[in-house]
Amino acid sequence: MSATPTRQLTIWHPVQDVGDGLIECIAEAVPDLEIVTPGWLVCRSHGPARYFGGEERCARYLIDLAGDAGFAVGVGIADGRLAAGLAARRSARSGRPATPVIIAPGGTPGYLARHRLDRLVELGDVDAHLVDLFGRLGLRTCGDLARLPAERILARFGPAGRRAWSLAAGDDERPLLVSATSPTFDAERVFETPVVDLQPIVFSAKTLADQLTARLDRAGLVCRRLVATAETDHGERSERHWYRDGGFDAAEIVQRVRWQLEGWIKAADMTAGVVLLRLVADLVGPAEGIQTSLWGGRSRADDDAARATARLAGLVGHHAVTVPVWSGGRLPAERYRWTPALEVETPSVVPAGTPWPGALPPPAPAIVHERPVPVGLIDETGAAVVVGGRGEISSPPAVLRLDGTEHRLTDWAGPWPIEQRWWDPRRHRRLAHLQVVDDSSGAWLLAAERRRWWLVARYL
Amino acid sequence: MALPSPADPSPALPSPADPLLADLSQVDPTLVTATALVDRGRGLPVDEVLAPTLTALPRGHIIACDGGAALSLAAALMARSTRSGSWVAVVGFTDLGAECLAGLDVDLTRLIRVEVTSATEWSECIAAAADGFDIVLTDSSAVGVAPNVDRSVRQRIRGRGAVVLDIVVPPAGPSRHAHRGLSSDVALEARPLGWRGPHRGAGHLSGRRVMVTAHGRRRVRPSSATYWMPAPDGSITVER
Repeated sequence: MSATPTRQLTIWHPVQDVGDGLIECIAEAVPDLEIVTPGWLVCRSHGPARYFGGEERCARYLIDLAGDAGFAVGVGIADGRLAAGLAARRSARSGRPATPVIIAPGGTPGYLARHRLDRLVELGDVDAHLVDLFGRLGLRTCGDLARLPAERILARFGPAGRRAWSLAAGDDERPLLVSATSPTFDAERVFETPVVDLQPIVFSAKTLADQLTARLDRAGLVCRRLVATAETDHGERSERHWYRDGGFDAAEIVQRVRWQLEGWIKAADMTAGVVLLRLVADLVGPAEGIQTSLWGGRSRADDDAARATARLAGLVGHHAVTVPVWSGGRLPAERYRWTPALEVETPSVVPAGTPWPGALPPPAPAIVHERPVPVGLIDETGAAVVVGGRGEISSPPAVLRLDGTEHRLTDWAGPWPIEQRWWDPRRHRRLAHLQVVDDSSGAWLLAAERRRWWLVARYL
Repeated sequence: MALPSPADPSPALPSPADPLLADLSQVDPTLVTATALVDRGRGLPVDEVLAPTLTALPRGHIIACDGGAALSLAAALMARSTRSGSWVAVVGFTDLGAECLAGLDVDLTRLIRVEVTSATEWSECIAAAADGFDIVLTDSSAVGVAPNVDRSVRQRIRGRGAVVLDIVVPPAGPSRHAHRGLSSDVALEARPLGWRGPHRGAGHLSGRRVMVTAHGRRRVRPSSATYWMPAPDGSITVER
């Protein structure tokens, strides 16, 4: 690895999803353009700067070039990707036409130092929970994090933390590379009959993306730069370099390919059907593990669900939109607590295989009444069925009276006495559960408490 | 017009026991298999064991489930999709047993529950849920659905391709009138045949046999299959 960092030039448009036009426009002037999003483009500044006579000149040229095509962009140049991105963002806000923001060589750590670590989330694909954790440990700015030794961060927070450190320290233009002897990761699909419809190509992209990410996954790696190529029967070609600091998962690869193809179709540059689709993981890095946080999900479905949940909470109130959180306990109503969705940070996973002592054996009932319903339970003679002091039943139950209807019972199991909180006189409860089956094979869970029978749950 | 790719592995014969595919293939002849439905993003995957009933949940459609094992059937039908990344919104079903769903392999980390207090809230929430969730579970006949609401709900679920599982909870008593619910594309009846486990006080509920009958809109003859739902070991199995 070279000691002199490579200067990164970033072009930033305030609207990230600005369509293919900006890419087309800049790609004419700059080869090897890397696309993070259609409004965020990155390249090495070395070549273009030499060509245009200096970094400042080059930056101004690109701003004008984009401006002529109708895109008001900012340009930033710095030693690291994060710094270049921040500089470009600052530049985009500096007026029209924008003034480029150029951080002198070696000046990146200083420039980053006072920026808050939140920037790593937006611009560096760092997990928001990790940054939150840094915050709680007293690390708020990039400078705070960069001051700590990298190996210590790696040991404590793993590869994800180490990457965040690289970003904060301005050391991120050379992400950890796989050695040259490792296999290349690519996947391609040849279409025997040229395809003129977008859908089958996107479907193939999904298959290729799955293959590629599976192979990378087995090697403990993620793809950070993807080269996506599509060719038509007439030799027309669309090739793009997509970059994502945190790595691509299969869904994100498919999304990029879709953007690329849609842009290509819209530009009407193809005169024949597609015969080749190739994906190459051009730059890889160590896998950091998948986030499983509820609202920081990585898939489109997770994002859609999060948005819809927020909207639902707006319609019925936050307390009325809930998720099941494992809580344990012996009573069916205690096993899961429905907790407001927006208050839950990570989904709770039930420890498997440890039965709760005193709980009812599975299967669990499909309907659990949060407020038990009073019912009548009588035997063949019409007398009420009672559970005695030693937990024994007075006579076989024959009829369940519920909501004005009578259900003939064919069998039952129990009773199982339970004593809750015997140490707490206010909340002390003694009850007994009883399962009953009626003549249409409906099954019900009853509880005898305070000398009455209650419907607790239903096996629907 | 899309050209199929030559390496497409889906078999060519329709599954005769699946009433929905029979209905759909009359509309679109290329949708002859569940693989086609799922692969083209038109259907959500269903555990293979339920293939005699439904091989996929068709997006944009309403599946009604009634009978004494309706909720268990619905849970079983959606389980595989939740494990593959689809989210479920439960609207208006407040007494839902989460542990039962977990036992039928539904991924509870992708489920939210919405409590509604009026028919208006219900229809607004169904619409909002259909926009962001692949699967919506509800019991519309507890709410009552007017024809114009029915139409607008159908339109909304077609938009994103949500699947509505509409449970009809058999009333516990005659005082609970079932209102008119959503119109359905497939009607599934899950009738319990018997329980194994209890014996005059001894034992406990452990396994249940259920007969599931599927009625499609255009089908003349409904099809049936019998399952253990659940079997004593907690799984779902087909009874041959």
